[in-house]
Amino acid sequence: MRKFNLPTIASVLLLTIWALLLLFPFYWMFLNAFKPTTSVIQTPPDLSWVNLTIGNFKKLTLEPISWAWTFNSFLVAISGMIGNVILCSMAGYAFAKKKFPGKRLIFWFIISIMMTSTQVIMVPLFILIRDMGLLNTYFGLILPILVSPFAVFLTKQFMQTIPGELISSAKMDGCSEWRIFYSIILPISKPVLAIVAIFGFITQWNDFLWPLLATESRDMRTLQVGLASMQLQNVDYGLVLAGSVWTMIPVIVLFVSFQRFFVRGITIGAVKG
Amino acid sequence: MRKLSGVLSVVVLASMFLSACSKEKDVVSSTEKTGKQTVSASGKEVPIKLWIYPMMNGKNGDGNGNPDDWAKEYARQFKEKHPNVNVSVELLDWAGGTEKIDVSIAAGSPPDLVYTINNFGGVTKYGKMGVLEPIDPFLEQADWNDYSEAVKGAMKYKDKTYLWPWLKLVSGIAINMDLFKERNAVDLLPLNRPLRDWTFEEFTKAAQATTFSRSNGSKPDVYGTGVWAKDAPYYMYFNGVANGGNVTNSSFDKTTITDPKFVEGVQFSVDLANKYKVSPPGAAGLTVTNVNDMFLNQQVAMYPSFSNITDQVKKAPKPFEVAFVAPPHGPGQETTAWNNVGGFIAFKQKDEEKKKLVMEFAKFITNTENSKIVKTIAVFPARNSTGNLYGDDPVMSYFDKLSNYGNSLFSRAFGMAPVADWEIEFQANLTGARSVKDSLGNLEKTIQKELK
Repeated sequence: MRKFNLPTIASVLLLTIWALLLLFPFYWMFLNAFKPTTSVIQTPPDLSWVNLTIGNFKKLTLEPISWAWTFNSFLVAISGMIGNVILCSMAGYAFAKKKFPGKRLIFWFIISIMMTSTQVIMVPLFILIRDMGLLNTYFGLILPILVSPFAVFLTKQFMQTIPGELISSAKMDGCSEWRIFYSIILPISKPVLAIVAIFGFITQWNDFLWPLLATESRDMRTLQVGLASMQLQNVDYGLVLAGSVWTMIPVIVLFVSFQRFFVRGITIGAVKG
Repeated sequence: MRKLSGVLSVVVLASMFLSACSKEKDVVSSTEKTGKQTVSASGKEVPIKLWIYPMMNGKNGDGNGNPDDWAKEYARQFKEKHPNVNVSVELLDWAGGTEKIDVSIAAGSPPDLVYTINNFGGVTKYGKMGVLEPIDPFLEQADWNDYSEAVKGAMKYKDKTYLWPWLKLVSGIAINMDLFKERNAVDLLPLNRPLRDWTFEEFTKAAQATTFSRSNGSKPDVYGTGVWAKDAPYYMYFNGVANGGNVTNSSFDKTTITDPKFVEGVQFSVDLANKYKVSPPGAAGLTVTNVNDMFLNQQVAMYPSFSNITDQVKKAPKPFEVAFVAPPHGPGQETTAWNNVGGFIAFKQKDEEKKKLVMEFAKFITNTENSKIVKTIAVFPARNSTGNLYGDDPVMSYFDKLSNYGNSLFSRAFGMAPVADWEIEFQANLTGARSVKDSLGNLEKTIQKELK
């Protein structure tokens, strides 16, 4: 049985208080999403569980366009997630286990992309997608997000830790290159792939700038961009908070379901195996 | 893995299908919207891209419908007259709209027409970049005669006209009368004067009288006014104009921002927060929305606002009586109001026929009849020929009167320096990091560079 000494109790207490403080904005958001707009701007904040209403959610969900935005967001986020898992794991494997000319240079080039601000590449990216005739299409939304340098880095770091003997043995048994990747590397790499998938989904789900630039018609917007365009000059806070809760639900579900992978993901690449 | 490949294939195929659908749908919808065969003198179809912000919902702005319905309705009506024109309406959002316009300009494919308003600095910013189409050849004498001087001032960058004016917002000071009654301070307000004008000194006294602690604490929890440095600092610099200064001279070729009158006026804004302490603490970090919320929550007794605050007050947690007075002015100065003008700017056109149609469409949206729609958001149409839309409404009648004292040069010139620069300098003033004179000296360099 674990001993509870004073320092342990103090740290647990401190961390609990800290966690509650961090959770307070979310609590406030959830609560006020179920309250009329007038409650939101009250000072001191109205934290009572009275006067609750589903009016904000009704307003949000009765708009057929909200469902189109939700669908678009799911399509974009899931496509980005799957693209990242498949394409980045292939790239990661090549960088981790293959020898080819310019490998280090190309890898560092990819790493340098990680350090480039998204805003910097927006104009060239916009021109590229426009010239390909893909503006205001799902392809235009999805194509630039299929590969992420961060995911390539992550998978490469993880796959480096896979013993080379495994691959040599497989080769001796007559495995083809594809079979080695498919039957040996990928199953071992499940933890990192889960991380890539989760990060890929969340990043694309929350993205605002690219969907804003790449779409023109209302029905092609994603949820983040669409909700912003519902705001007239006077902000309807109730609707904003209901929209925030609406957009958070998939992320929370994903986080709770794959919490253990998140913890693992923080340490992947931190220690060289 | 097979499952994964399968899922990917389905997603990719679905994307291709939906992508194709989307393009197909765009073509179909534009044809559906048109409802007619495309016919024109040259026989070619003319697409016009209009970008707007969400301002009113519904076809007539009556709140029933979507925020782009009114623009689509105008597009439909215009198409009846010009069957070869297809107007596509895109809805921007207030948060990312400017970025989208900037990227589209940088990529060389801006919209044909976009809504903008003075305090965005769009006319100045894009006029200077040389990406706007001058509208002078399309404006007739009758149009010029229809705009007030304040509106005319907002339409130009240098010697060319770029803005098709559509609406006019007039700034005043919104007063929470309940708070003033509670503090027995109604006599301090200039309500009995014909123009409800007052001086900085009188304003300060009224703000001091309404700064108090309702909970009898040692620190106030209700403040006479609100000073903020983020989001919309132009209100704070407006005191420089109210004190007799301005951002540029009237010929728009030299900045006058470091003139003593302007410096003293801005110093007054800083003093309200730091010397008189009649504004909520932390002014350097406050936004206009914060102060607006505090006003609605009866924590701020008065603040610079437009007529449309009345509707928000009706929906406040505890609605209260609102009155409007003129912005305060410096000693010996005449009242100055700030007319903010919103309208449409057209980006450069290569095709002459299209240019004419773009201009005609802009003129159509902003004509006497169509611009009356802005009544639904409690502002004034830019054209005088719309007449008195508000009848005997005392609030709107007052704002109409106040608009005659407007200074649009200020809002036009404010865009000469990025809003972020103004924010940084005012934040530095409020935190004591820089003097007002030094800050304005910094901004002077930027503005003078822009003017050259």
